[in-house]
This record gives sequence, structure tokens and C-alpha cells, in this order.
Amino acid sequence: MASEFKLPDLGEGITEGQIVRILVAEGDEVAEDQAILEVETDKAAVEIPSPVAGVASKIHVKEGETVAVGQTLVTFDGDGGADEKPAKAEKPAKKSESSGKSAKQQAPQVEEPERKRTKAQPADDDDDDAAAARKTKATPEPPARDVDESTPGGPQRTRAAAAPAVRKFARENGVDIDALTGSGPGGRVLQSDVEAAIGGAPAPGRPSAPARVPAPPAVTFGKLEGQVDKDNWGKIKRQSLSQIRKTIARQMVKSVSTIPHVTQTDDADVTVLEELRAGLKARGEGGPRITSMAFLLRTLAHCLREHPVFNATFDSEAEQIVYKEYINIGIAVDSPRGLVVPVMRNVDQLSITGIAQELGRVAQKVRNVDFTIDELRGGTFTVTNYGAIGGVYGTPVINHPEVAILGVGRTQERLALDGDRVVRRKILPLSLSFDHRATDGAQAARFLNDVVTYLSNPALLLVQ
Amino acid sequence: MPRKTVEIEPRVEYLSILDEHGVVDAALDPRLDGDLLARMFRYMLATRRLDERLINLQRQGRIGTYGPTRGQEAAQIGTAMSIGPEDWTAQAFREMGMMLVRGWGMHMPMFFWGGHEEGNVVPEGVNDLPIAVPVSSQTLHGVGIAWAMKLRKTNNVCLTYLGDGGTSEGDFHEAMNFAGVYSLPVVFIVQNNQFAISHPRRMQTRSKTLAQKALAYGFNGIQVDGNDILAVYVAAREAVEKARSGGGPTLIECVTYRLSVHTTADDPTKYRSEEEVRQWEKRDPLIRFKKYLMERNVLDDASVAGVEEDIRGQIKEAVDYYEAYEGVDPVDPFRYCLAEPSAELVAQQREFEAAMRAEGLMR
Ligand SMILES: Cc1ncc(C[n+]2csc(CCOP(=O)(O)OP(=O)(O)O)c2C)c(N)n1
Repeated sequence: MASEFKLPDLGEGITEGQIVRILVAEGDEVAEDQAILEVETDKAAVEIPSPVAGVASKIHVKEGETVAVGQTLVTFDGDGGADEKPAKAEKPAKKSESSGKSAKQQAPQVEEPERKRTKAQPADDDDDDAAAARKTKATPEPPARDVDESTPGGPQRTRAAAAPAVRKFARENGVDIDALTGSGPGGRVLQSDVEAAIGGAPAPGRPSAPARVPAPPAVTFGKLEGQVDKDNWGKIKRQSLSQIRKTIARQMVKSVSTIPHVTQTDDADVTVLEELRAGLKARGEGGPRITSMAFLLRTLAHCLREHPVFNATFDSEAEQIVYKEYINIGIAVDSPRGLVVPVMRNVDQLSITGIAQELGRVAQKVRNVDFTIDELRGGTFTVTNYGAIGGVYGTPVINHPEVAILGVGRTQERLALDGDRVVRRKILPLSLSFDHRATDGAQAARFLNDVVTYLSNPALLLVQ
Repeated sequence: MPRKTVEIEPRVEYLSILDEHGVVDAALDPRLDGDLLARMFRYMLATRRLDERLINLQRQGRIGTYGPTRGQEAAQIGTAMSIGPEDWTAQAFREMGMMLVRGWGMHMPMFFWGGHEEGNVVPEGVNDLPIAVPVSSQTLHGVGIAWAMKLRKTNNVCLTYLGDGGTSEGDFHEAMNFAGVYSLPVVFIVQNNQFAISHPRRMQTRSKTLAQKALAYGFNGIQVDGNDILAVYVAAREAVEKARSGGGPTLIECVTYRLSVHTTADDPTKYRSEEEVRQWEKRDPLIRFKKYLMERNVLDDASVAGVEEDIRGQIKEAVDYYEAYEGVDPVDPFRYCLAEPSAELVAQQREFEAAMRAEGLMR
């Protein structure tokens, strides 16, 4: 059975060493603990003893070469080495079956053979240290580092080149940095690449395997309350920001501090649309529930085509507006983890039923906190439907670097004038925030007018 | 108001019984029982072989940094065998020989230096304190134990171990003073192995001996050849008997040599000559003791080979046991810091978990 011996972590901050001498030749029969190499590190020159008995079938290094911790030094053909943990599986199994002793209990003692025999005999040891049983598992799993062992030349998965701070930033934001293609020198992943991955615009050339949004930490302590403290006026309690809160905070500050926001509001008379929906509901048929949101998205898809500046991002560095030919609408939702914005793709190519179906699917995913970072990226426009909970108008903050966001309030019954008659109407309050660098109030009013017109006359949707 | 000399007893004995050539001073030879001698040898050899194996395990990446014992076997085993299981010890961090005598398993140092706290859990029924890395902190603990023994009127004693470097610590001097003032049943075992990491003995104190430090605190100090297990044992027995019978503390300076590195992260060629090491290798405590035992017919070649074989098997058993160990959840330290984790701690834990996951070290 072949085993590979890698430069071990020689301790206390050592990351590499230089091969001073090679003490065995390829094909040599080597005894366990026989010195095979002399390696010099920052701290000392040390002889490295073989972890196994066997034949040194391949020596991967040369004298004078600098090797990193974890790099393969020698391949052995022999009776199993330190790295071949599974070969030893029977041994611990026996131990935990018979007793499950902790380190402190099972003591191979230095004593005369008679005494040693009784001590080492697990059978007559009736101690039941539960903690130890838990710790000494029947079959030790191979340690995680085994993952790399099939590829002597290095890890299988290519590790992106990136500064530690950028790695940390990516980690904090749930971005799999190794899945990004860097735009820096030599393909180095920059903070801006990670930001792009978070912010929506997909980094170019990203491989398909999407990163999972990290699940909430597996280990929880009953409560997560912060420390109780007090200030001059009474008790207070501090709470550290969760990772998602930190991300939201950062995104919001970035948006508000870089984008000159303007918010315009208008009302859509959705009386007819609601009647239409009631009619559809009466038909039943177990299809997806057609919500007003489905109509709204359909409307938006159409109006965004007509007013492309609202289906765009603003590139301040290049001083360009980046018009998107696809219509991917982000929908801000309140998930168990906080605000997330899953993106519905190519909305213009979906029927109202299709949109309704897709909305149902997204809602389900959000509820189960089961979505990938990819599903949060690539939006061109965002809708925030706070009205589902309450409220009329708002001043939504743009999802940077998009150009606009539409806030949807709660549908209200209002009295209105129809000629001289007072009539009861259903009104949907709308608030559109836009980037005043990209466009102006007149454009926004035209866009909003169109949206209102379609929502008030849903028949128009049929003929576009 | 005259100017005169205050008389103190500036007296430090030096004891050597078995010299480096294996020649014994017949008048001083304690003529110990053959069985006891064989056990001493067994522990010394086991300590030596285990020490060698631990260095290899570290070089192979199977345990972390390790602080070897090589050369100090007589000092440790001679003193440890001078007390009984009812007595106590308060050790530093280089006392593996003592630990084996006291009943710690051979796998324990693998756990400890492999980074598992289980290796520092004192075995059931063993009256030792755990390994203490803060230099000399254990001397205060040892004195505290001795004080309790005195208050409880037991006949027990406590040995506390330290190195030459440890004698420069404030803790040591406080412990010495307290032990002297209260006449406590404690024996200070100073293993003068000539180095505190790279710092040589001569730079540690201007005193001629370390033993004489005891004089300032009003009790006796004795210097012994720390590589001569007979001298170490005799001196320790005397000190222990004295303490047991209410005579108060003693300091024993075992003059020895750290034949190996301070720890596996150390390179002693940078601060001492190979010639010096070669000189001390000739004074190896095992060589002379083995000669003595052979001459006394306690051992022969066959019995030595048998002991070697036994020890090899036990070390193998210990390594297998250690390597089959699953380890604990790396998140555990966060769980046991505070009863109610603080927000900062929770945040740190999350960061730690994310980093572990990112490195593929945790699911
Ligand atoms: C209070 C304290 N200071 C510094 C250290 C770092 N340190 C670890 S071992 C050591 C040298 C100890 O020398 P000595 O007491 O002679 O014991 P030896 O290592 O020779 O056995 C030092 C300074 C420590 N562990 N504790």
C-alpha cells in the first residue's frame, strides 16, 4: 500500500523548509523512524524520521529545494503509514466497544510485565466514562487534510490568489472566493471582484458551481442576547451585528452615500385589476395564486423595456450607464435571516402565470433559507413590497449599483370622483427612487405614468 | 554599635555516589534492593525511549512542539521514587520521567504535546498537579499543598520541580520564603540542566550554586550529581524523611544537562558547542547506572534486551491509542469560557467556524 509523506508542520510558525540532505535513495528499504531527510527551517536544521517502514519508491524533492509544509516529500510502498488512518480502524473500534476509556484511564504503564498486563487489559475495566465514549469513536474518520492527498502536486481545487483581507471579506459575505475569477494582476481576486459578486453584477467568467449561502452556525447557545450594560439614563443592551446585518449596513451606506436619491410617488387605481384577480380566483383550478405582485412584475417588465435607463446600472468610475438587455428583477424579502433580494430572471419572457409560479418558488426558498449566492446576483431593478406588511409611501434605498427601485405600499380603499359621482376605488401606492446621476425627474414621471396606466388598465397588458 | 560579622551557616553539601565511569563509592552506596534498582532502570529506559519517539512523532508532524527530557532521567526518577502515592508533586513541564513513575500513561505526553488537554488530566488516584508551563508558578502551588498537609497534620510531603531558570522567578522566592517561615513539608527539586532555553546557568545567577538559595530562606540546600541516580535518591530520601518528621523544607539542586533541544522548535547549536554536549554525553545517567546494575548482577544483557522489547511494545501501544483518538470539537473552547457567552465571544466563534469551514477543517 503506497503512502505519501509530506513535510509536516514542524511547529511554531514554520511554513517552509529547505532540503539540506536526502539520506535515502529511491528504492531503498526504510525502517520506521529511520532518518530520511535533513530539513532546515527558520528555527533549526532537523532530521526527519520516516513515519513508516517500507520502500521509498519515489523521492519528490531535491537537495537545496525549498518545500512548503504539506508538500509531498517521499512516496512509500509499504505496510501502511501515518496517513493511512483507515488501516487502523479495527484497533480503536475494539477499544471503544470494550470500554470507551478516556485518555486518562487507559494507561499503557511503564511497569513490570505482570502489572502491565492487568492494566492494559480492557476487559476487566468496568469504568464507563461517558464523555470518553463520546470522544473515542469506533471508526476514526480520516482527517480533513486527506482531501488533498491524491494530488501530490498540490490541492485539487484551485485556490484563488487573493489577499487575506479580501478572503476574509469574501468569507464574511458568504462569497466563495475560489469560484471567482479575479480582475487584478495575474488573476488576483480584488475586493471589488468580491463586491461585484455580492452586489449583483456577476464577475466575468465565474464557474457554474455556486457558493452556498452559509447556513446559520450549527452551534447555538440558547440565547444570543448581548451584554447588559447601562448608560446615564438606564439599562441598555449591546448586540453585535450579525453577518447579514453587517452586509446590509455596508450596502446601504454605500448606496446612500454614493447615489443621489430622488423619490417620486404615485397611485395606481387597481380596482379593475383586483376584479380580474377575483374572477381568476373564482375559476380556481388549483393553479398558482395570481397575486397583484405577478401583475406588477409583468407591468414592470414591459415598462422597463420602454424606459431602459431604469433597467441599468451606473458605473461611476467609467462614467457610463450600463444598459441591461435582460430584465432581472430583484425582489426584496424579509427572510428568517433578514433582508434578502432573490433575483427573478428574464421576467419579460414569462407569462403572468409563469411569474406567479416563480414567485411561489422564490418565497418557498426564502422561507427555508435555501438559496445560493448566485440567486441573489445579477439584478437589473428591484421591487420592495413592504405593503405586504403595511405602509403607504416610502423612500426606498436603491440596490447599488442599480439605477432604480420601486416601493409598493398596501392597497387602500379610497373614495374618488368619477365625474360628479363619489366612487369607491382600490388604490396601490407606489414610490420610485432613482439615481439622479443616471436620469431626471421627467423620465421618472414618464416611467411611473406608464406603470400606473398599465396597472389601472390591465387589458393593455394583453395587447402589448 | 560595633561592626562585626553575623554568623550564618554557609554550608552546602555536594553528593556524588556513582561517577560517570560507573565507579561507586562503596562507603556511600545505599545498597538498594535489587528490585528497586531494576525498577529505577526500567523507568529511566522507558523515559529515554519514549522521549526519542516523541521527537520523531513531532518531526513527522504527528504531535506538536515537544520539550525533551533526555539527560534528566536520574534527577526525575530518583526523586519521584523517593516518595509514596500518598505524597504529592507539583511539576513544571519537563518531568516526563517523574510522571511515568507516578502512574501517568505513556500516551499522556502524546496527548499533551499533540494539543489535547486530555494529556494534562491527572490520572485517577495520582496525587500530582498537572503540567505547569508558567515558569515556577508550580512552586507556589506545591508550597500551598504542603501548607495544607501541615494544617491537616498528615505525614505527607510535596515535591515541587523547577529548572535553573525557574530560580530567577519571583514565584520561586515567595514559595521558598513561605516554606521556610512555616517550616513546610516541601522539597524543591531544582533540575539545573544548565540552560533556560538559550540562557546559560552562569547568566542565571551570580551565586556559586543554586542550592545555596535555600540558605537565605533559613533551610538547607544540597547539590547532587543529578546524573547519578543513587546520589539523587539518597538526597531525596533524606529530605523527604526530614520533611515528613516535621523538619521543614529542603532544596535539592540536581546538576545535570539538557542533552537535547529546549523544545523541538529550538536549535541549540546556536548557543552551545557540540564539544560541550559530547562531554556531557559521557556523563549520561543511563550509561553509568546500567554498568552499576550489571556489576551488581541486577541486570544482564538478556534482561536489558527484554526490558527494551517490553518498552517498545508499550510505546507502540501508546502511539496506536493516541492516533486512533478522534479529538474533540474545536469549538469547545468557546463553550466553556463563560456561562453566558458574551456577544463578542459569539461573534468570535462564528468567525472561527467560518474560517475553519473555509479551510475545510470543519463541516
Ligand atoms: C513565566 C514564564 N516566563 C517565560 C516563559 C517561557 N519559557 C518557557 S520555558 C523557559 C525556560 C525555563 O528554563 P528552566 O526553568 O531552566 O527549565 P528548563 O526549560 O531548562 O527545563 C521559558 C523562559 C514561561 N513559560 N513562563
